[in-house]
Amino acid sequence: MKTLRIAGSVFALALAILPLLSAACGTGTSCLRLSDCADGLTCQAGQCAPATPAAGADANAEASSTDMGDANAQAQDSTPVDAGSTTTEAGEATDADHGDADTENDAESSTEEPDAG
Amino acid sequence: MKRAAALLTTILTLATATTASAQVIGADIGAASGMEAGDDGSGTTAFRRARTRLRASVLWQTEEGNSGMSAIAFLEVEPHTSFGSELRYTYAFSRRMEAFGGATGTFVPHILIGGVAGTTFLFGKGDMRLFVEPSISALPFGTDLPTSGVLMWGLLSVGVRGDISSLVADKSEEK
Repeated sequence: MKTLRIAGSVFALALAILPLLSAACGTGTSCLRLSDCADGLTCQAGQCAPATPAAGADANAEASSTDMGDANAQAQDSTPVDAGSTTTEAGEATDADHGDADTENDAESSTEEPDAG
Repeated sequence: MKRAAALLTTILTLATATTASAQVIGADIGAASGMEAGDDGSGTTAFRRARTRLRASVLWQTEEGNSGMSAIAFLEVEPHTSFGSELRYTYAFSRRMEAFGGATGTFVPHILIGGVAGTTFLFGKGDMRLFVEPSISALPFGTDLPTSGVLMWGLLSVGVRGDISSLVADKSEEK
């Protein structure tokens, strides 16, 4: 009976203490079960992620489009308008480059044509 | 969820039927941990250490012979907390070795239901003995699964069992 009493005491002690050591995981931690993640998060591709797919996608897009050094500052300061303007500028620059290239090609081809003729 | 509900109903019906003429012959307390594997949503099988759990069980004899049933309540405590239970059919090959199979699952905070099978090795003499119990579980149902894949547990339990009686028929000779 003494063994049983000691085992029971250890069991009760573990039952009281061990749950205090457990903690729900935040965003980005690995998971195999939904209960591995904190409330409001879900398990996606082995990682705890926000339950709303749109919010998670936006966060990932912002994080990947900024440099590591500026990531924190831009995440706090940037707005969708800023992000849109940045994208537009990049797009315009790309279009402009393509436009120049096309113009040059056209010019070259137009100058070559008379020679060929 | 319908299949899970049907399985749960079957387990409860079986438990009610078997406990009607039950005679409790033992109980144990212990702890368990091991490996956990499953599809994490990336399409590959991921392995990791299983949650540490504390367990307490009651074993009862349902009829004459070497077979019995046991009900186990367990609490997963680390690194995350959940509560579950098992219902097993147990067959004793001898006073030192038993095999079992049954249903297992967690119910709080999420549902997880499946089957379990394993072997129990008992050490020591008298009514208080140590047990070591390797087991494997497959859990295909429940709201705790991120995908439609099966979650697997390979666990090793250790603890102490107190026997009031024994499943084996020749207990008087061995004692």
